[in-house]
Amino acid sequence: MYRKYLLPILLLLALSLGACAAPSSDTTSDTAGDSGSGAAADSGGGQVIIIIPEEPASLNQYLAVAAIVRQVADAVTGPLAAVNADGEFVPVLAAELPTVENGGVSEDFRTVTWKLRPDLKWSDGEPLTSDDIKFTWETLADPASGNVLSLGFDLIESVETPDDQTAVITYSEVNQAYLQQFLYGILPRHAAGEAADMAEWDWNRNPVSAGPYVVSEWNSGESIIMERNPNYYLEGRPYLDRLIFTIVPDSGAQVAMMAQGEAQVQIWPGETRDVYDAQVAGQATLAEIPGQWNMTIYFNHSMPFDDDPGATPPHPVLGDVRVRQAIAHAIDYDTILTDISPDSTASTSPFAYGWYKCDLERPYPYDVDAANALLDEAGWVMGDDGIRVAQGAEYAEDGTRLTVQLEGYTNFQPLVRLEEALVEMFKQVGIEGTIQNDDFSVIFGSYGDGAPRKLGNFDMLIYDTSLTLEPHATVANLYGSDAIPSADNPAGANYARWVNADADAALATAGGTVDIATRQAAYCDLAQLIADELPSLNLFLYTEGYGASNRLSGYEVNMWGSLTWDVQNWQMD
Amino acid sequence: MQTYLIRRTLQSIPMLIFLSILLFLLVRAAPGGPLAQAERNPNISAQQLEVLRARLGLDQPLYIQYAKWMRGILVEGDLGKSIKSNRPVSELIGERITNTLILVGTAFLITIIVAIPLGAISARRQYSLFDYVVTTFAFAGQSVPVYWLGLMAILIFYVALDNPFTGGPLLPAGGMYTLGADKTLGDLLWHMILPVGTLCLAWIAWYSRFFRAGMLEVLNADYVRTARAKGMTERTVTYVHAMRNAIVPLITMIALDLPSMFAGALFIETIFSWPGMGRLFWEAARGRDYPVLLGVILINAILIVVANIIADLLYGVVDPRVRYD
Repeated sequence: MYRKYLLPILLLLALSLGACAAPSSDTTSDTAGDSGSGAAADSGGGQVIIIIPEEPASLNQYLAVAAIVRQVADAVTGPLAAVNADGEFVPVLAAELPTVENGGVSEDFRTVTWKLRPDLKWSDGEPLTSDDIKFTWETLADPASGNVLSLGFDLIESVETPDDQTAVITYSEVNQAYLQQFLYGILPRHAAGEAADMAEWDWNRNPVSAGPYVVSEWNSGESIIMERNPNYYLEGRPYLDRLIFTIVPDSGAQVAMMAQGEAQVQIWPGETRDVYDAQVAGQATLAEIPGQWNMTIYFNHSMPFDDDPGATPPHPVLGDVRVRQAIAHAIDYDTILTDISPDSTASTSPFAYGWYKCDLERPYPYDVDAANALLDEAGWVMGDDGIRVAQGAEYAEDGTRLTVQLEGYTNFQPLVRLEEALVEMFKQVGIEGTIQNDDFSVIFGSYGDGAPRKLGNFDMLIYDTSLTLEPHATVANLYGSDAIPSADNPAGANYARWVNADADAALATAGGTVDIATRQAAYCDLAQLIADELPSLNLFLYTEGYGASNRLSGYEVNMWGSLTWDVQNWQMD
Repeated sequence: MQTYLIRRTLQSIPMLIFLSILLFLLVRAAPGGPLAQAERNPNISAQQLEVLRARLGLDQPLYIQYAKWMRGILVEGDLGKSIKSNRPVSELIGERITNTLILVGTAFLITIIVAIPLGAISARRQYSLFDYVVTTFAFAGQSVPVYWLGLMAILIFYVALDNPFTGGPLLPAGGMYTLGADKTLGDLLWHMILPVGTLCLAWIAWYSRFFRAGMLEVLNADYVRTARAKGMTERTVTYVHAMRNAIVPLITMIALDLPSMFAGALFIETIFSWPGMGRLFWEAARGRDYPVLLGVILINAILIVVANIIADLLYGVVDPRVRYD
């Protein structure tokens, strides 16, 4: 625990003492070896050292379970279309985006025609054709492939390839997300393997690439080195000759490498911008934007530890909506944004970004008096020690203390700071809050593993959740009354055990159409219901980003993409 | 001796089988599961997760999973595949074990070479200035946490001090080789200075202290007084008569510590970005990568058993009173 604070302090101390010892910022080429990288920098080439905290298991995004994979793999991935920083699809290997207007999408939305750019080549010089698109579908639609991403390949009925540039995809039912069908890259038929062996392909760690780079060296546990792809489709790109991903698990060592200018990019620094910029002593800055991760509290509506994961009987404390409302009133949202999580932006609903964005007025804003009044009304009277006790409460026996437990995950200091602040705020209205953080693999474990949220054995969950561009499956699983986890439905994710017919209706409306306006209105109705009934409460969006050297330019932080989504545009001074 | 060796080996087989069951159950008794990262990934649907679980066999009863694991080891000599990376566990261990042996082995060797004379001289000249210096150093080395030492080493030798010739940092902050450069022995040694040095500081403190205590006990024994009375030089008494006996408990300690060479040095490997066994184990433990976790623990358990047998045999070599019949 101290380590987190100790090193920055020591570093600051040492850097201020040794400021004269490191006056030049041009130490990079010295430490990066004398293999001509210094000279190459003049001609626009050069290299960038990127610090990652853990090793990606493979570079095959379809097998990727951990977030780190995509951050690295996008440098060797060629998608048909990608999502830019504004959340819009842009063609990459495709000549243009298929739409109804340009005839790429049929009137019934079931046939999509992709046109590839002319003369595309894989990194090994083989032509990249529509047959590779067909191969990608054949592989990923095969359940034996072990593809983990839910992209709707099983909805594809056939892929026709009338010529080398054209792939005509016929869906058995409408795929709302057809543009992201090939977001994670095309697989090469000539260099991959059998679908059933996908998990064991050599390609996974040394991919024949359609992205800007190719892997030249993989030192397990230490580094992954990439050289430019000579056959990349964009003329003159990428600018950088070489990317070096170095695996540095210790945050202190990471910061030291950035401060010394040895590394140029540090992913997920886990610090606020002020602290980070001071730590790296002017060598770099935290490039960040509001991200996808939406800090959320889930209130358990059902009795915990009763061996029943279902929605009944009600939670003795949180089963009463007035208590949930009082908790919402007790939270000082502004202070959280100014003091506890300063770089974050407020979020008032699960739909905080994207085309489905829906910002609401908080129905229960920070108001200690209102919170106290609600708790008085709900039968919780103030005790001698400042904690309320049940006396005529709806579901709790008289004499029960008003105690709630916050449950998050460990090893994430910003979450602990937030929890501690919430406990203080709850105390103001006579609620005793406790903190119980679990190991990552425990809290996000499965039903069979006995994860507390799956079994309903918690009071309040607190962690960040995220939605993708196509949110429906996630949202329906979080708030639908048919998605309460149980032995029969272990995959369910309605952890609040919230049962609401209006919410189910809104979900049905949103899921039953491709019309964006209708869907957005339905999601906003759902958001309002959530804000009123409080199965969950959204607090803020964490920023997303990375530490980037002042000598690096051309990069753009993209909440929909990864670190390397635009790596072909990066340049070093 | 030979029968003893055979007996001990045979005895250890049922023990290892029992151990494997215990380890399997312990690893699986830990709360949580290996698919937590997937649960957090918004691109992986809940239904897809269940498919994944079934493919990994995680939905089967524990005894079947154990039987499959054991059959893999005994019949095919296969420790299984990592859930995280889908690569064979033996391959993962193979990649890391050399790195760990380089790091921990070197540190261990230096420790033994330095700590034994240090402890011996310290004991022979008890309460001398030398003894006080060594004792002070030993206490400091024992009480300072190794991760703090490591961070201080980075701070001093990487951040604060510069190489007078190139202007870059004096010593590298971590890794085994300079990134992007050719892998040379010189470069490796260069990168070993800080991690090995940090490990040695802590270990020498322990071992010198331990050996000093052993020597002191022996130096006050009757037979040493007899040796002195017979007119032997102090040098012969200390280094021939006393030391041989003082080394017996040290062998136990070394034997018990040797398997830890395999287990790696987690803190040092983490701080100095050294891709060794400690990190492999820790990452597997955090991610509940059961096959990797079990593979590492099982091999470690076997090594401990073997090391103990070797230690028992060595007693017979250094101490003639120990007989194996």
